[in-house]
Amino acid sequence: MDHSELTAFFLALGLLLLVARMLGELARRFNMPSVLGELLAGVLLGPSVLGALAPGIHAGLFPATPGFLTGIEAVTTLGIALFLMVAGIEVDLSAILRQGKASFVISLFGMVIPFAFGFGSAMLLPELFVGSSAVDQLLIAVFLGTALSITALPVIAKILIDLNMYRSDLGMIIIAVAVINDIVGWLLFAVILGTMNEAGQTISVWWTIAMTVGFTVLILTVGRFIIDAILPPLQAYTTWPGGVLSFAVSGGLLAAALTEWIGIHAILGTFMFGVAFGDSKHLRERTRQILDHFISFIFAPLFFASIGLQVDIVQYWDTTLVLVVLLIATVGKVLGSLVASKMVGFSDRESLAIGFGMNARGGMIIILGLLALQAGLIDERLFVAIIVMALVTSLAAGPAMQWIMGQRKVPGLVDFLNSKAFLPSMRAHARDEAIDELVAALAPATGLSREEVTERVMDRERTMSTGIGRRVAIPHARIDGLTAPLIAIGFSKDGIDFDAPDGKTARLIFLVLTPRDEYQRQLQILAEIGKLLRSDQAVERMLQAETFVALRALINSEEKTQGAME
Amino acid sequence: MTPDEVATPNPESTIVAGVAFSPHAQLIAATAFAFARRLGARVLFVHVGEDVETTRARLRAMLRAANVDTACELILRSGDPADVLTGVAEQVNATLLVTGALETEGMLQRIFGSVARKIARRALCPVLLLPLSVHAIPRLDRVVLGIRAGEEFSGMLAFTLRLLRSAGQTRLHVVQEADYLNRLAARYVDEREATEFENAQRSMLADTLAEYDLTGLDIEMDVLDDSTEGIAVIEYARRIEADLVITQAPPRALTLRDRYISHPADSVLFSLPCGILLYRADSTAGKE
Repeated sequence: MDHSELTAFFLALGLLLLVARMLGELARRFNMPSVLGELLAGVLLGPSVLGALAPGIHAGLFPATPGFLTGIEAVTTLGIALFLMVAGIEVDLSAILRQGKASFVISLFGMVIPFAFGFGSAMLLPELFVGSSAVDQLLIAVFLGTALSITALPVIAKILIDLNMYRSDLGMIIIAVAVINDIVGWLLFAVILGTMNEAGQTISVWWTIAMTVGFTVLILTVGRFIIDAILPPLQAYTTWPGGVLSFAVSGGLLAAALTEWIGIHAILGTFMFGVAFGDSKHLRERTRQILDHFISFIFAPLFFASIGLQVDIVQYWDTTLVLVVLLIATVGKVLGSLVASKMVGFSDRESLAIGFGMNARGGMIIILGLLALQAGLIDERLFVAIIVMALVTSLAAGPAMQWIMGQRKVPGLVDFLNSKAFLPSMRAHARDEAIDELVAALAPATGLSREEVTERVMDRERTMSTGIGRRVAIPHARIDGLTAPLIAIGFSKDGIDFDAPDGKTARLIFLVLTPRDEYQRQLQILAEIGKLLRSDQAVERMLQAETFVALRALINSEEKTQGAME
Repeated sequence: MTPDEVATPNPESTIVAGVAFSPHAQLIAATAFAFARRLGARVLFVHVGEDVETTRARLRAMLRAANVDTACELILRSGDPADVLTGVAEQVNATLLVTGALETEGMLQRIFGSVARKIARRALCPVLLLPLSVHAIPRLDRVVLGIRAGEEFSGMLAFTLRLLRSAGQTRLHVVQEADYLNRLAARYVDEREATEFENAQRSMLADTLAEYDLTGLDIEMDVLDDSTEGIAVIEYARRIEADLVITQAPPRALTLRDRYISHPADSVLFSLPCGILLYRADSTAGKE
């Protein structure tokens, strides 16, 4: 790159990242996936918008010189590779494999059905899918089948949390299924790309399969043991966490080089290295977090934005194809997951909800699509359709699930409040009296004996005090026989001593009763209240509420502003 | 259980200790003997090797050197060390099996399994493993009880309390390890919300403990979510210089799959800063 190319290169990268992140954050504000904003940044700066409106500026910013293009491509390739490594690290292989046979059987169903839909459609409608691509129809059909069977793990995890199914064994099986589907999906995809090497010429499928399987087995056995042996001394004798971070990235890149060299795609190397690395007992959560943030907020946005630069979405828009892809993707995945969830024992309604959750594709499938496009496997029209499908399925997952689960939104704090259980001026002056007073306000709603509930709350209080500081106390207990969580709120003028860490008395008291076995729900409620009252100002605002309606409105609005989805 | 009950000798209850010829064996013997006295149990020493008079005499001398009552029973039996020890423990329906362990397990031991790991897997009763780094009989003044969210642990807690009370100790650290689901959930909350998430988890650990009778104990608790299961509790023990870690034993099966996918209770054995007691529920319940 010469001087002017280098200038353009840095300018383009800086601008892309800036706009991508800004729009990404904006999207999150509106409860939409940040990928949407990041893609949009590329579309705005790329040929579709800026190129059409101000061709001069566009050509100046993104010169079509070989040096510049190579530079951008190198950065995005690196971005993809690292992004997949992070996705791999997310997988705790041991935890997944410990789930046993059931999850494998279900994964199979969850994959075979969407695969069949993708494969079948491409075979039946060659003129629509194959289009101008010179590649074998069969290969495109296999690709489409594979692409449609991949899911987005973060989306699933979030949905299970929201549905309060996360802590259950069923929740774990669903997570395991999603992970297994992903691993198998990427393996299949690596085989497809491997056979595509040498500009569309098919090399031996069996050779690629053997290499893929061989590499995977090797890295998940020998590689995994080596990583496990290296991590503890690395953490002990090098700068922490820097040492581990450089080890992770270099390991991922070396694995990429190895896989590319033996003729399977580099992404499989980083992904599988990530899986082996993430499985290590010695990997700390903090290390994973730093890697994740570094890559998800720098490389991933650059990559997603660069898509809009490379492909003119307006030019290659094909409404029929977009709709068909969306339809087969949704029907296949929802049906597959529905069958799978029914097999584990979810109810019809829950299964359908999980189906729509699994339908969310997130950013992964876009990466898959771009790699296929670069390899000449699919044409731009199909790629655009895949991007749209990924976005729409992700956007639709949340609302669709809420609608299925009985047209009610995921319960928040406000749903557990009760006007009779709001005591704007408590009479009590001591902790025990305060608890008794709040329990008395809730007791009629529980149908349980007041003494019994008080005793449970007091038992809990004796183990560890529930004064959290900032003049707030959250006494709570898990109660047998309760069917839904209940919250009572009391204000105390003079303050009540709850033995808080900051030594201040509590003026705002939340009594939280949850059903005995709903561990995850209780965790959510307690964390939610903690978040709600994070600052002194928030506590003060809450104490200003004079009526139950005012208090409910306040909690409702604070919850909304904080609850932005990823 | 009250302290008086503990002091009553219970002839039904037996502690089995595996001893070899090493300076470390003296510590194992002394620990087993001390625990037996505290719990009012009899102790049975087992040596893996041929039953010849010379060996027997040397073992007796070793036990004497360890200040162990020489009236204690001594069994010599040849075979695979893990098989012999767990076999004897099963025969006498032992309440506890005491033996040594490697301080750090290398890669080979992880794949092929160390003797300690085999014992931990196969024993029907709780197993106390003393690595070479331990030089004194655990006084039980810094005991760490490692539990996992949503897992029932009343049996293990009762056993811990019995040990603590028999040693006249009151301090107990209860730590809860985050499993994959919990760590995954924590990843999808905002960094700023992570503190609240952690506080809530801590608070709920207190909820769980509130369900047990812990009168007279000085409890400290923590939720560990930076490391993986098994490793986290050991790191905590190292940090507070604990003298014993008590946690659930791994499942009894030891298949090829188990060697590849280690259970959290296996990872505990990777590197031991102190003694570890792997608890297994009532010995009769484990039999198939």
